[in-house]
Amino acid sequence: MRPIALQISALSKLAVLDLYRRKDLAVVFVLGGVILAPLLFFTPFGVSTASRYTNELALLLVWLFSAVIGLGVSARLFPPEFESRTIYPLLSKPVSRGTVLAGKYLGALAASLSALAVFYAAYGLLAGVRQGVWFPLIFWQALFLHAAFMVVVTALSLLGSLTLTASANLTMCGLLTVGMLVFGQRLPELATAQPVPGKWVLYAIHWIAPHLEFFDLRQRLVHEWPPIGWGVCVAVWLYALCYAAACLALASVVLRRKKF
Amino acid sequence: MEALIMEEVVKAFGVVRAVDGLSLSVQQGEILGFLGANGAGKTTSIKMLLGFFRPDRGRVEVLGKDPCDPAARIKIGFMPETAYYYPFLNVRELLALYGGLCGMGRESIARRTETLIPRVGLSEAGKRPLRTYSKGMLQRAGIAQALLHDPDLLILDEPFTGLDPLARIQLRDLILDLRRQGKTVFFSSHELSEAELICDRVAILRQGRLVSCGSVRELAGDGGQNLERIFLKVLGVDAQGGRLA
Amino acid sequence: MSRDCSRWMFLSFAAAVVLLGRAIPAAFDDGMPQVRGEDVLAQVLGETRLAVSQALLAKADEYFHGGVRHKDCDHGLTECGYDEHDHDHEHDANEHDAHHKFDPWCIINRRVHVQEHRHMKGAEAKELLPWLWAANRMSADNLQSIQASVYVLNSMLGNPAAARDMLQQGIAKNPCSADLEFVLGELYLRSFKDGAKAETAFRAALEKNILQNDEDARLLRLRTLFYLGYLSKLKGDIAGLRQHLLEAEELSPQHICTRDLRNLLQQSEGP
Ligand SMILES: Nc1ncnc2c1ncn2[C@@H]1O[C@H](COP(=O)(O)OP(=O)(O)OP(=O)(O)O)[C@@H](O)[C@H]1O
Ligand SMILES: [Mg+2]
Repeated sequence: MRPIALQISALSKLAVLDLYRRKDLAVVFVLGGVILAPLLFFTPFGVSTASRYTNELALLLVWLFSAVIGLGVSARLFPPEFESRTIYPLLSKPVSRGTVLAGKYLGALAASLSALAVFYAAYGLLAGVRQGVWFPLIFWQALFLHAAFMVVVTALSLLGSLTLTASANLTMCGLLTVGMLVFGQRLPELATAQPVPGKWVLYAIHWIAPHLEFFDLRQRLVHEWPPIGWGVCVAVWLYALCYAAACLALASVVLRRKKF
Repeated sequence: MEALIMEEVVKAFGVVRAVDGLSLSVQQGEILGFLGANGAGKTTSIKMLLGFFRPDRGRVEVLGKDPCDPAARIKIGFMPETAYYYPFLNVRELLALYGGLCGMGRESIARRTETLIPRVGLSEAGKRPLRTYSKGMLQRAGIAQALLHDPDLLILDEPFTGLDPLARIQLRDLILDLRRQGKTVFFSSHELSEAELICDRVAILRQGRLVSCGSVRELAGDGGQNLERIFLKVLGVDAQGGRLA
Repeated sequence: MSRDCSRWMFLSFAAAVVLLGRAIPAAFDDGMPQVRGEDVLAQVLGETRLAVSQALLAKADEYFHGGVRHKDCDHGLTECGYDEHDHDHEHDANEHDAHHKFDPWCIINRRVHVQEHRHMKGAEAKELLPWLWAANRMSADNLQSIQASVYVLNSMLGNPAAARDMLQQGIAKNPCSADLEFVLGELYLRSFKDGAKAETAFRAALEKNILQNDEDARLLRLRTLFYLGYLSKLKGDIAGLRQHLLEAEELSPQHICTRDLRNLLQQSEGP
């Protein structure tokens, strides 16, 4: 392996170990089980069992937990290095700051994507048992786009962790994620209904903020709508890659300028 | 040949001039002790030697290269003042991480780890996560990571603090051993007795300025004083009262 | 160590809250200032329960439309009366997007998120039940959700017995509601073909209806009178039919129910 690949893989491994040794995932799984288990045995009006509402709730949990894990893992990449001063031995090694950023980002991404895969496997099994439809095409599309969501969210909170305090970063990223998932689609509509200063603010948000709702295929997956075109999937992925690249470029400028 | 050169280096943080026109050079194969009171600017100088930031003025060169260039750091081993290494790793994983950062392959990392861990006395604690380590044990892990890639120049920031007497002796022997192998060691310290024992030369810093530099014998002159007295005299402190003269 | 400790404390605290919420109403059957059988949680929520119940009903409506929220669809689940309505019509889902036609983000969103208008059909409607159940459970005062549940259980899922059971519970909790009695009457008449029970229900609807005096109540009265007249005709009770027609004419001589009653009377007197 070339030295830079060795460096990146060492840094990535660190981020992955950080996630798995904290046992966050176990907590998340127990929590999800506790929330979902009672619903699985519920028959409203004593009639036949419905499955979509459990699927929707399970997917909501998947989104919630994946966002928390993605934001959390990547927000924890740098601040502890500064606090415990491990950044000094790290940067005293023959690595450029750009490589450190790339390695850590890829590690956070690998960690959260692995968690995402586990979540979707669990969801796929649950939905398969309940609905009798095993891993339809729309499931794979949902997973594919959700992965793009992780690409953006981890880059965003990495940038935030270098510019804001830890709590400010998590609050901002959390609000942005939830806000865009809920209102992102309706921003232009909301903007046209506003008087002038608010209108421009909303339009600015519409153009600048990450459109995380692009990655959200829950509606189609739960209600068994047909899959979307692969062209759209690719476009959405390109959007995610560009957005993440912009965040990382900014982060690398910040990191390069930073004095320790 | 010089392993390390600082020329007229100035670094200010706001109004505080942490390093103020420091010129210093260290020969290859030499052990140099970098002394000074708290806040004298030792750590700041070391950070510039490692390229963490550039000096406001002056020139820094390490092993013939600009330290801000990552390639310059390939042959430098650094141990920071205080670092709380990743609490969720054990010392082997820590060394694997740093080895990877140095571009070492898996086998060479394993080989070096096997020699270094017993050498810094962490064989028993090798499997425990670092969060369970004491301060001195973390310091030992720090020494191991600085030596991991077999560097030619070692920059150690207060390596003796927190070590028990036995470990101090071992570290002293280790540093002397490194000199024998032709390595250069540059370390800051408050342990004047240790410095006196092993240093070829000492440099004494006061408010960012180099006030004295030379071998202990040169600095002592005819009086045959020990390093502690020299230190106090150079810093202008009254030996009895500890007041500034 | 202390983190573990606080985690366990939090969990046991949560468990204690749930247990108390369940245990207190059971222990103090009549001694608590709350409806029997209702738990502390329900009491705490108070007036917000109706709002939450409406939101749950809206969720059911969203499911009815395949997960799409249509605020302008006037024949969704929230509006369903007992009549079968015509679902074939054009919806202009994109009308507010008209001036964002060339906005790339809007274009992507239109491709990713469902734009079509779809209504649930047949057995698929079982997916609505959890939300309707929750809406009914959340607030017994939400007559709309009770009516919607009857529609789904009876018309969409073909389970009139479950609809009847649920409706009877609803009536027990809303003893003053004429609407529910009317729906029960229709259910008996149409799905159980049980004229006697239907008549009892319609009479009850008429009685409860007297208490109200608005336009809706007047319309419900007319519809109830029509059914009562129709049932009288089935029994061959022409005098009863005439009586109901008179009452209806008093309320509104030109209303379609009045006219239908008149037709019924003419048919039975005719040849
Ligand atoms: N990042 C910083 N921002 C502001 N001032 C700083 C910064 N780093 C160092 N200083 C100041 O520069 C001066 C030199 O600090 P430095 O850490 O180099 O001292 P030192 O010689 O290592 O002291 P010690 O023996 O206590 O470790 C001090 O006055 C310190 O307050
Ligand atoms: Mg220092």
